[in-house]
Amino acid sequence: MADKQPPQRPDSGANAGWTALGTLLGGVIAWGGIGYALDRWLDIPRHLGLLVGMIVGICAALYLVVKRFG
Amino acid sequence: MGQQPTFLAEGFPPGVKDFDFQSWIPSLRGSEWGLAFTKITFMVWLAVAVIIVYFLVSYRNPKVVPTKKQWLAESLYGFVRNSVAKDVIGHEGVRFAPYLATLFCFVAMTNAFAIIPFFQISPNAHIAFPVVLGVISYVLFIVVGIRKHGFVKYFKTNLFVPGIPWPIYFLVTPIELISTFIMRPVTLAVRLFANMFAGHLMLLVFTLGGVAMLNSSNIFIQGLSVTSFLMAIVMTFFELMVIVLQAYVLTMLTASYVQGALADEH
Repeated sequence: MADKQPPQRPDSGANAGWTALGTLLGGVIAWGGIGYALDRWLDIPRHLGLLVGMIVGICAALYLVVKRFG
Repeated sequence: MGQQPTFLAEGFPPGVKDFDFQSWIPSLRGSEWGLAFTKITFMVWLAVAVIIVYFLVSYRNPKVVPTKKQWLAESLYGFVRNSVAKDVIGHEGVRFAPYLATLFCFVAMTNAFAIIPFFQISPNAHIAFPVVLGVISYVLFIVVGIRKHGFVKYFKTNLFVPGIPWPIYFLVTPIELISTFIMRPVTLAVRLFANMFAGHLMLLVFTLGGVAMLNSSNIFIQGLSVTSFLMAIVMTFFELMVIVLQAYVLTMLTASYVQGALADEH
């Protein structure tokens, strides 16, 4: 079955897609987590640290994806 | 329901307790060895035994013109070797083909218990087993990367993307750390676990739902139970697809992580 097929590379794009998705999620989780920890530690009202952290995280992750794949 | 169900199993409304499998050896129940001999562990051992015996038997007397058994074994291994190991990792990938093929067969076999009658649940519907598989892949790609590049260089290429000004590293390196070294094993394990667990619940809902409807006193609802059983059959075929797909995805992602660890620069 697979022996007779010519060599092919179907998913070099899917690979990069998974990495990009992981980076974007990682950005939100990493900096959102740091922001949340700051919230708990410094008693910042209304989850402001979490909010700012998630926005900073997604921006940094987008920057990273552009740098890596752009 | 108007009347008391008559032919339902004793634990009819299924609950969390149904996932606590009892030890097959009664004297061990409740002890720390209680979880060592259950239906779940039996299925894992059975899968291991089936795979070992099958591949040994089909290669015991190899022919140039392969028999059906040998052909299946060869095309299984050939598929993982060519379409996963070689295509994803490259020419170095053949080294990893035995592990990847074993992983594929093991996951496919243990997943398949989800729809084999009288087993009807996959060991991978217990988070412990996908976690072990995820940890093996995790250790594998880190060790491969460290052996190829050396400890410092491996973590440097993974944590510091080249070509960006240094203050940005404070912003970006935590992201790389999380996405490469924390999220990868977690997503590997959770993806497999969630797919098998959700599939199990889906079959359970339609099958037991059909039984419950059949027990109803209303003739209309009893008739509708046919739909529920039909859905259970359709979902079983859907589950068959998920079983193979998840085994493939896990193998594929492991291969692509190894490829990432072996790559020179990103």
